Amino acid sequence: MISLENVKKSYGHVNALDGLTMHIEDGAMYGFVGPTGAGKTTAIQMVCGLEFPDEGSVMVDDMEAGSNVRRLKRRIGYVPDHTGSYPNLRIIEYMDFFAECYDMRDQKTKRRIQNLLNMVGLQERQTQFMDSLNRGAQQKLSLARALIHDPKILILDEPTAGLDPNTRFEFRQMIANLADSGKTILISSNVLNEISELCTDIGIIDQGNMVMEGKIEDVLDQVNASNPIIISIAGSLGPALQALRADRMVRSVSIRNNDLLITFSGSKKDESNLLKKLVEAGVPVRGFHREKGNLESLFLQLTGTREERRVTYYEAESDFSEG
Amino acid sequence: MRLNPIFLKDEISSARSFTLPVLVTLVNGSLSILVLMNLFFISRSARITGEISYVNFLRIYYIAAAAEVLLILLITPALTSASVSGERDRKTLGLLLTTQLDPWDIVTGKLMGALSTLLLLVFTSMPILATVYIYGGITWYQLFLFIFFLVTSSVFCSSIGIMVSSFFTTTAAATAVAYVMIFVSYTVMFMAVIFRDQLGIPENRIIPGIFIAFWAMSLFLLYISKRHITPHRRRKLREG
Ligand SMILES: Nc1ncnc2c1ncn2[C@@H]1O[C@H](COP(=O)(O)OP(=O)(O)OP(=O)(O)O)[C@@H](O)[C@H]1O
Ligand SMILES: [Mg+2]
Repeated sequence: MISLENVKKSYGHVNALDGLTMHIEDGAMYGFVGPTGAGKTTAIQMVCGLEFPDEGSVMVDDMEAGSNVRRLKRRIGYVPDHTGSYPNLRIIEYMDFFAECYDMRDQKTKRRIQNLLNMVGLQERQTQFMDSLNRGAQQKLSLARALIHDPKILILDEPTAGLDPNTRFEFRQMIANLADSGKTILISSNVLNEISELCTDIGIIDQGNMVMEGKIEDVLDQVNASNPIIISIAGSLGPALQALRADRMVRSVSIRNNDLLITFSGSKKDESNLLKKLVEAGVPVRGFHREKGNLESLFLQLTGTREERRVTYYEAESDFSEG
Repeated sequence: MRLNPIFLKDEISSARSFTLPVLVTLVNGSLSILVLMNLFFISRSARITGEISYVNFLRIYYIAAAAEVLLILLITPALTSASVSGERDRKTLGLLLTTQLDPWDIVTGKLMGALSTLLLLVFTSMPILATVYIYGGITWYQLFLFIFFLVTSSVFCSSIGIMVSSFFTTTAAATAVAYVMIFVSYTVMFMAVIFRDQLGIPENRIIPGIFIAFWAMSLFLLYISKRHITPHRRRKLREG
């Protein structure tokens, strides 16, 4: 369990974190999303004990983050946004070095290092020097390194940024496997779609504040509720428009590819009533469903960048009368 | 025994660079040239005048000894002022601090790395300086004192280098500040020796005093480096 309570942190006049509250359950795969400069790295460094809040508290399990408890350091594996590398060390020397930093130097550790290198696909290249590695290989090595001491919690700061699509896919696969093995994982990104399929939980941060946090299903439900209902109609739209205009819960109507898109403020029950009304009014309804939640548009909405809508809006009164 | 991982890692790295062979060649080479040239001139004048100047042999010793101290003072900042800032630049300092490594291990590991080079220079140059023994003139005690002073200077200058490299982000600034600090420290030391009487320091206290001061300052410098690299809560500034 990782929890940040009302954490504030400023660098000079910049408020990097402005009252951030965040909760990560044990075993969760937590997607931490926010635009550039939102404060993700700052929050992550606090969890890793590399920064301290000006105000508020950061707890990892029952320990204060950054308190020099060995047990705590043993529990966290950290893949930073910039891979820290030693260009003139070989891959295997790099791994050995970090194992020694955890006081691990027995035969079991040697085997563990081989297994980890195998997992990230670098076993064959283990005698290569680090400066010969491209960004993808560096990130994989960074992941293997972070797992040396078998931490319970794995923290990844934008691990797939700057990777080609193939490596990105491989990397996601590895993280998914790690999540299955029961680790608590915190992964940050500024592209929500990239991690939304992986995550069980999601936190959206903007300007140092959590703007939405929760289980992915709950977040998706909320997203869905704000999405339009799509009504497909066989035949002319006229009668349907009339019926819709009569309903007070229909906020707006627009047309996309001969379907009607309505924003609707009622409950699920109200939705079914609306459908019934349409059918009773003799409208040949062919389809009636909520548009699938698009996390990315929610994200953009929440973080202030308005998404360009691909639909054209019409005022129901003016243009459809001839329909 | 458990060797410091930072030290081991840096030794592997430095074994792959030209720094050490170049340093050994330069330092021992220039000391050799100095001593050999002096021997050459003395023996030439002996051939001409038939007189061997033992005073000149002693002079070689003093010149070579001073040259060696000077070399240590010049080399050490170059060796150490990128030690911690280098880890910071490579983004590995944060990684090291998230491991179970104590920040103190980072500082002492860097110190050991610098000393492994400096002590190599000190001890490999001993035979060259020992040429003065051929004709006697200095005591074992003086030689011991000199070696101990070189070791002390190595530790002290390395501590300065490590301290500045943990405080300054750019290596250039760190190196400059290290040179200034070393210059000031040794000037103060010489002043203390020269004006010992005026300062009222008893003769038998001056040498132990200097050594104690250097070692105490080294410890203090290493301690503040350790404190500085350890992540800590920022102290609240009072408003107004
Ligand atoms: N060491 C620092 N000194 C000064 N300002 C900083 C420092 N670290 C972060 N900031 C500022 O704090 C804010 C939050 O930065 P942070 O790196 O946490 O954002 P981020 O969400 O990780 O962004 P990115 O997606 O670019 O990685 C930014 O405005 C940044 O400029
Ligand atoms: Mg970041």
